[in-house]
Amino acid sequence: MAADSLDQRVGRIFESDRRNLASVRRRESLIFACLVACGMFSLAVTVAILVVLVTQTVNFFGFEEVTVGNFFGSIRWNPLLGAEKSFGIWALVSGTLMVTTIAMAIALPLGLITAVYLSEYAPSRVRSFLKPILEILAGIPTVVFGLFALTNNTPSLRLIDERFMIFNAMSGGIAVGILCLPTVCSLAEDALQAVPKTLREGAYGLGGTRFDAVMKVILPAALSGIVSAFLLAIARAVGETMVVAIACGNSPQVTYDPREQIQTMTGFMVQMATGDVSNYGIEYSSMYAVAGMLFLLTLSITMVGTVVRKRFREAYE
Amino acid sequence: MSVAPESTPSPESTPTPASVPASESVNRSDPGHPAGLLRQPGNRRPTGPRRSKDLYFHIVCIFVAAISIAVLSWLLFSVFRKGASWLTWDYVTSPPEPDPMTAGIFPAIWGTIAVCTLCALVTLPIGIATAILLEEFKPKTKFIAWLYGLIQLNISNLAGVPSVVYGILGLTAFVSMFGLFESDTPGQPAFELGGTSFQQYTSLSGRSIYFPVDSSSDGPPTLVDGAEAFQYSIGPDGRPIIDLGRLVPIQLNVLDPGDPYPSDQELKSRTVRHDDYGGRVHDRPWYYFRLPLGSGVLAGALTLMLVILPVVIIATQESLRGVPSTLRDGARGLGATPWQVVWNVTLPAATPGIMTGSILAMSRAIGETAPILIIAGVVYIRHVPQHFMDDFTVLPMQIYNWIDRPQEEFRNIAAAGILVLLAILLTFNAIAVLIRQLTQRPLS
Repeated sequence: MAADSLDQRVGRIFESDRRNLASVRRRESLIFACLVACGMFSLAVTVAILVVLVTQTVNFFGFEEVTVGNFFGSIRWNPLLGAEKSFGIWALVSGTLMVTTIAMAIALPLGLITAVYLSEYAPSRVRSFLKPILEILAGIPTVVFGLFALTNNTPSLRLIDERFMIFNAMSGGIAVGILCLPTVCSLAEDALQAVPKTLREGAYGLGGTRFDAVMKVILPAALSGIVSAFLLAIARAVGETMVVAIACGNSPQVTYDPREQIQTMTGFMVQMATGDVSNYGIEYSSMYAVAGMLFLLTLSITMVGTVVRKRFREAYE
Repeated sequence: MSVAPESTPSPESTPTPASVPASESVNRSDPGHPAGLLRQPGNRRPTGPRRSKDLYFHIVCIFVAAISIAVLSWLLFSVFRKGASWLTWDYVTSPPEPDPMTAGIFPAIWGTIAVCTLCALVTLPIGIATAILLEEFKPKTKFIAWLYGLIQLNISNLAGVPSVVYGILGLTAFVSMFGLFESDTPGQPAFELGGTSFQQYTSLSGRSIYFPVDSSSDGPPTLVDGAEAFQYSIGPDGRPIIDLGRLVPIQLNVLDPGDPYPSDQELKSRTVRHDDYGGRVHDRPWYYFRLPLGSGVLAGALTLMLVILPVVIIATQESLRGVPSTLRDGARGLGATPWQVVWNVTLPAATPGIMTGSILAMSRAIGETAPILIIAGVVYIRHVPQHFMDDFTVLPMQIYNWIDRPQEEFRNIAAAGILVLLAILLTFNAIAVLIRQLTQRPLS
């Protein structure tokens, strides 16, 4: 050992652990390329959705029984009737809107008040008890709400009023509202918590009650977040499938009576997918056309919600 | 967080003159006592309409909050009451039957396990990689910054798309693969790997004869005398061993018109009539692969991947943001390359959050019905999936099948299935909470 000079020993130490810088750089770029490919994958998903829906919708309008005027102008949706096919989308859209309206009438006020309670009024013990309950409610699968709507809501509604049909819009709407309530509550609570403490303390310092502070200071300050929460809940209710497929029925019609059967856009898609329709007929393409309308609707609501939250957020600090 | 203006400051906070003994009870309305100042007309607590409005609103809030608790309890109670008595061990281990008294949920449980495991294996790498790209590798040029913004916006939008639309996309992209792989017979795969197909005939003596065919989509084969076919081998007890992997070759004898009817039993057992059509059977091992994918376990897993990918990405981004930058800077200072920092420092630090988020995303995937309904339709599955292209059913879909039937007992076993589903989800959430508790350690 003493025969090796110091230089030689130091050289050996340095060389033994040396990695080629070029190979390290190559490996890093390769890994970065893989990560970019994964990032592009999510873009590819959106592109694929758009491509599929657009081509199939164009295909749908290519059939001779379908005209744009009939699609947007008629209120009868009968794709399966032999001679008298009519493809008026408003029947399905009206069903969706009715269920969504009933659901939002339940979810928005109750969710907002629960959020206000959790954020401003509730002691921490109640908070630690109530928040997990809302999380559990948010995590229950939608089939459960479907069964609940069919076996609990409908009989109860029929007790109240005899004229409720077995499948009706109201029981589905109530179940969808209960579904969306945790979403509204958690998003609205985030918006309320984001209001800076100084505003609250200013309100209390001026002698306001908690109600005064909530109504006059906190809610106006958090309004953009709350509106965004409402819009996201609406988007969720519009896209809800299983509850309406189970409880709302299969007959598309434009009606203002919540006691009657309706069919929503999502319910129609489920009916087409589970039925015996051939893969290339006009009925199959109509499923894609309805999916396209649904996608446009939810996408626009979601984007408006995001824009409202970002653009109109009051910056206080 | 809530400031309570009703609480009055304690007497100790106001200076007591020495003349007032501390043992005296405080009369807060007495103007002579320092604490009595608070009860002067100018300093009263708000009374009248504002105070009562606050009180009423507080009561309304408590009532509304109680509604959600009541609804949840009523929901769970009604499901429990409907289905608890039907949840037996036989129920968990039998296949579904037309008779609700004997129907079970066994294939659905295994289908759920298969699809969700495969889904997790596919989603987690892609989701975590995308989140790492967005959080750790900061953009250096304006174009890349714009691209990152586009990806981020895209993910937020995808999180809001209804799951039926993902089902439609899965139907086109994975089940029929945009129509790219079309074979002559619709529904049959254009490309197969690993499976062997047979045309099954019944011989004159009643035993089955298996004639090999090249692929699933070939037409029925032409039968010629002396061709090689297969039969079940005879076991030691004299009965045939029903196993398509253990066939013995025989020489086929075809009974053309005009041929004498064989009297020899052995000859009869390998004779088929010339116009026999038979049926197609397949022997597919677990690694069987076909294109297009068809509505199998793999297509279902990929469709569920589309549904939960945005959730996984957002959850991973949150947990990566929670790692303090001092750890990263320290690693960089020691000479680590960016990927080494991510792999050796950031990811281990963010793993609890990532695991929690992934488990919650998997809980969502387990409960998703609509995409599976769109790609698979209504199917009556009695067996556990044997390979990745096999037909399958998942728990929520089996429950939906039963709910749709008119008889009341089917609703009961649907409720029992819901109890199984809720038990699985509760276990998952408990595991997530446990991971969150056990791995909470301060990172800086």
